Amino acid sequence: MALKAVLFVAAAMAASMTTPTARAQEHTRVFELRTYTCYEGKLPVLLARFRDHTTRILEKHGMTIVAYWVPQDPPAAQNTLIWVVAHPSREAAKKNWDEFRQDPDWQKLQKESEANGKEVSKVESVFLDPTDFSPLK
Amino acid sequence: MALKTVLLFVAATAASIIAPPAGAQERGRVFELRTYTCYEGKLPDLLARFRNHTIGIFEKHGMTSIAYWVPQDAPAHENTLIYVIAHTSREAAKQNWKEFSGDPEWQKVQKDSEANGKIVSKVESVFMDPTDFSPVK
Repeated sequence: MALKAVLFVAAAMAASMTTPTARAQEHTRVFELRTYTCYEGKLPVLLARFRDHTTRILEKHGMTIVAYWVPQDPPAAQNTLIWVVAHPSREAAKKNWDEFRQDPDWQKLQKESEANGKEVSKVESVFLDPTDFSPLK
Repeated sequence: MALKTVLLFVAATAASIIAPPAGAQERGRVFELRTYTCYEGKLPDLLARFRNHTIGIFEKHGMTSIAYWVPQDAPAHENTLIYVIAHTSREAAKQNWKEFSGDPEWQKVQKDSEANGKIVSKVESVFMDPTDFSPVK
């Protein structure tokens, strides 16, 4: 690489890390905290479905997965998945979910899994703004 | 800046962006999801206390802040802080909280910030394990 090109890359990298624009962009992400309660014995099936399929389909529709967790203590340890997903905005979240539900991949998957009995008995969703001091934004 | 220095900076920057995180170390972490409900009008006081004091004291006692959020929708929007911290283990979490509670710096911050009345009316805590397919571990 020519020296000029190297310096250009260095400048671009430095700029992308420090400019207020880049940070302002990050501030606008909206997070969604979702808590799924499963029917008895269905948590392992739900986890396998997220691992093997759902995550990929979510990402296809503009959703960024932040984390998936299972509580350590009973009774939630047996039946609960807590996860966080990021959307570019609240409006985008609505559009992402609409598109996700319409996705033939998802509809096929849901139909197949429901043939063996539904997994999730309750879904809770809370939309969140990061605070100005949050490490994750 | 000498050319060598510039190139070294470029390499270091690139490495810090591209290198995978220390995965093995992070895998053993335990996450704690905490939800604080405030007395009426006290959420700004709570946010200021976290921003200016609490996060620093957490770090002193081995607690890693992952994210701080405020719900977008009413009524939680007016009175709720949801946050996630990481501990090295469940046993460490117990020890971390004990040390935090006994820290004179925290005790002073708490006393000073609550001179006009208590801030938090309810604390919920859920300890969680990341799933094997979770991006944050």
